[in-house]
Amino acid sequence: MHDPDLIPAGIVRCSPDARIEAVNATMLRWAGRESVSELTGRPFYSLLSPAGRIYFETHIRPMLQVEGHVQEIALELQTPGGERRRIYLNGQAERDEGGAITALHLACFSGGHRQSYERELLRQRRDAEGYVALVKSSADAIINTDVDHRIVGWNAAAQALFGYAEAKVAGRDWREVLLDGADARGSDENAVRSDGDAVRAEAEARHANGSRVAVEYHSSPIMDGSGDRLGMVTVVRDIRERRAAEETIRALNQEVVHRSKNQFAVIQAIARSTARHSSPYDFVEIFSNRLNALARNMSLLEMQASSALELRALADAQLDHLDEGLRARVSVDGPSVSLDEHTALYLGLALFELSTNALKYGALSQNARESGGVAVSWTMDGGELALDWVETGVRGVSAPSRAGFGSRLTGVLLERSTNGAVSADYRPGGLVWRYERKMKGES
Amino acid sequence: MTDVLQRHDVRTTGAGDRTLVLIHGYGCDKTMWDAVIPLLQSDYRIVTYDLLGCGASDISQYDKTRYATLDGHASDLVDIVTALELDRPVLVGHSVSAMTATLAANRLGERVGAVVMVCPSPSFINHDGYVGGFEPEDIDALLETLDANYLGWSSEMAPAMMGTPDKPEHCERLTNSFCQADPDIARHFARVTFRADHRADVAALPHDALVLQCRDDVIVPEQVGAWMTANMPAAKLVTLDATGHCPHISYPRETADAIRQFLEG
Repeated sequence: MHDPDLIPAGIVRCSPDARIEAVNATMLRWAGRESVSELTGRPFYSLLSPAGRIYFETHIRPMLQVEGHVQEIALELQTPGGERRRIYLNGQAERDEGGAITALHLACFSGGHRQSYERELLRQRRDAEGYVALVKSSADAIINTDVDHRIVGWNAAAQALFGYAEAKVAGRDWREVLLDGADARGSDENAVRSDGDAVRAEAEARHANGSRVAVEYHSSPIMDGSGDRLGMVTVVRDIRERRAAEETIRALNQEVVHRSKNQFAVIQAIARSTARHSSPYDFVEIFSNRLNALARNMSLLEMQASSALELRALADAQLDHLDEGLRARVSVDGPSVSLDEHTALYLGLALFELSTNALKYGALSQNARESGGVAVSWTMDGGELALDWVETGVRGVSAPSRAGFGSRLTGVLLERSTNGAVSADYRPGGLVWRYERKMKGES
Repeated sequence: MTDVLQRHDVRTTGAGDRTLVLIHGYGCDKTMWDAVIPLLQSDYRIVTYDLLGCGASDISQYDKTRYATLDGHASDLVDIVTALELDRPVLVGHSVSAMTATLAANRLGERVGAVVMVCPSPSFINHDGYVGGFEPEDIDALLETLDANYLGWSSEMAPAMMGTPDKPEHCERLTNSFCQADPDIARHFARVTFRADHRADVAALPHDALVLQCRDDVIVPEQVGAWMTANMPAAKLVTLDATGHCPHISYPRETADAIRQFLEG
């Protein structure tokens, strides 16, 4: 019989409760002990690292007791000095005729290199799984192709963006699937020109349902360790939102130019008419008042950050130049009405003119009694706006002798530019002015 | 509710006025109780089941968020007790599952009769003034050991464990994969088990409780038993004439006797 001390493996015999009864010389050496008596009676787990102890007691010992054997369990021995040795453990329970365990036979094989190799394998497997999860859960569409641009991988985001399932497009040239001929050629040229380097471009890609998707794509070569090209990975981003934002900025720019041209035309008209209907001494004051009215309209529009304006806000803004006592004699009442920018501009100027007229000649002037006032009110009926400016308490009202620019602003100019109708009636108690207009698509 | 019984492969055997629910610990499955059951089933109704992720449970239902703490397992236990309409059962938990039983008992209150803890530990990791037996590094090393056996478990271990033609009943059990778990789940459960700290939950357990300890239990140092009786309202400590961490496998007679004595007073 072979001498067990010469076997290149650690051999241990244990009692049924896993206490050491005998060991060979190899085991003794690996355990870092001098004599067998140091080990006999000790639990086998005491030869293991702390982690190994947990593993042995929770897994290995129950398995030995229930199943009778274990094989190729990776563990670490630990000497009293703290030195560790990676081993594989095989174990076999010996039973008596009644099935009761009489001894446990354990064999430890040195396995450091193999364990390192296996750990490296596991690390690589986890890495690979990590990358797969990364690609799968990416919010960007990721297309993996071979060197000939044929689709190998197609993640969930790509399916969501383009409507094709991976199985539908696998093996096809991704450029033919998603890009028009011109784009496909373009990216081909890029690829050739850049000689395997990354390609970045924007394109109108095709969705499975035939619609267009504005995208930006970035293709990079996949190289292996020795520099050989294995394929390409293409990340595709949906840039429809970015495109829409760019479009909005462009439209806003055009709008700004358009509006300022209009403003200049209006200012020019105001200047010309004010000059025609006022003395050189009054010109600056009247002109700048009218410009202020215009400016108030503009700042209101800006505050609302849209091209629609609340009628009440417009009326309040144009009455803002009155002092507190006078402002209290003007009532403003009406439902919420949203005006487009154009109507607001001209109606605002008209309200300003009405208020300055009232101040000079009408219900808010020396010609009126203290009880004199203005009721500004409006109704919306079946999409028709009717706004009334009703002055009361004026003594000796008479229609103005000549039609100045002011009356053009509250009359023909407002009618023409907003497609509305104006009536002005100078009654004994004061001016009754009415503006009516059909509102488009407003309730 | 019958879903939960299927999901955990819940088995009922024996007959008696009282019901014992046996909960296996980390590492194996409900077959760990096989040696104890014959010794108790003539006097008690016995329920066993597999923790989710172990044994014959529906592994597809393992949700790492739900089972990120023992609370998920405790909810399962509550569901099982409720589904079976058990009348004040005795929850018997091994090792980490003694904590699962504690959490469930704290939730069920008077609907649980008593708690038996076999080699329990409220925290395997040492804290100031508390000896759990391990440092956090040891637990990290355990996870590495599991990794080292990852490839082995999934390929070579299974056929090797099947090869016991002389014991057909073992073969049957092996197909139920004794001590075999999906390696990812085993790793996850190991982390949950060995990093948990349930000292506060144990200290709040109002139920009569039996703490069973063994000598030379490398997983649970003797100080843990002393800590538990000192900090629990109604715990009784019994040290078995047994060694190791799994007396229900190695010393089924002693384990069964201690449980019976505790219940019959």
